[in-house]
Amino acid sequence: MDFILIKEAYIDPIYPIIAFIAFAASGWAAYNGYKLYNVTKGASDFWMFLSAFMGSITVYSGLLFARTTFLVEFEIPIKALQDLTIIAAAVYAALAAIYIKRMFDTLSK
Amino acid sequence: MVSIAKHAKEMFFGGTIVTILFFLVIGFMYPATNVDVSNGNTMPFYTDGQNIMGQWTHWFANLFFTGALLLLGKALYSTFLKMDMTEWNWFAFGSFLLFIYGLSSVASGLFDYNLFMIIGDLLLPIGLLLISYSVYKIYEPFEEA
Repeated sequence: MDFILIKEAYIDPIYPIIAFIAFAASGWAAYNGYKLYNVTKGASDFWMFLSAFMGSITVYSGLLFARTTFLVEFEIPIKALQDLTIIAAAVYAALAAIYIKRMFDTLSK
Repeated sequence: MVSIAKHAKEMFFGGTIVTILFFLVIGFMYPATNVDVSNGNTMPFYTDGQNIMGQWTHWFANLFFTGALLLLGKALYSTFLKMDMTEWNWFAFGSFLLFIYGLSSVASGLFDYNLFMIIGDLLLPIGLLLISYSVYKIYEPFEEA
């Protein structure tokens, strides 16, 4: 009975729309971030980690979109995958933070 | 007009503490409902006498994400924003909204599940749109060169 209630909560059409906007925005950010990394020719590693962070968020919101539209019955495994991607995003965000500091330390020397 | 760059540290720590306090106040105003507790959405995540370990993993993953976003925000504030770069202001604000998303995911495991899930779901696309706009604006001058 609880499982049916969870499924009904996600039928509201606003959730797929919100998830799709998040998916498109994060994909665009990851694409631009990766292009910036290529332009700087790897001079600033933090762009790599920042685009990896955005990429993980893209996968996360893509899974959210899939979970709320055509893969509703696979709710539990997709939620587990989302946890995995959000942990990856957190690791990349922390690495990007360290590399921003490192980049400014080398610039100020 | 007071420059953000001059008061970056106060803005960062003040903003973070005020946001967390705001979430605590909202959380105590709207505590977990009986439905949340019986569905196992609220700590300690028990349903029908059984502990759901997946919910714990989910909660700690969100806590880790929130902490990492706080670290990223600190690094942004202490470097780029001191130089008063406009595009990075948008990036920092976007990452702040993602931090609030993480915070609301954490709060949904402690307080009213539906309310905090709605707050998080609404703020995630806005934060990502701001980040994508700022990354595009940062990339634009490189493209012309």
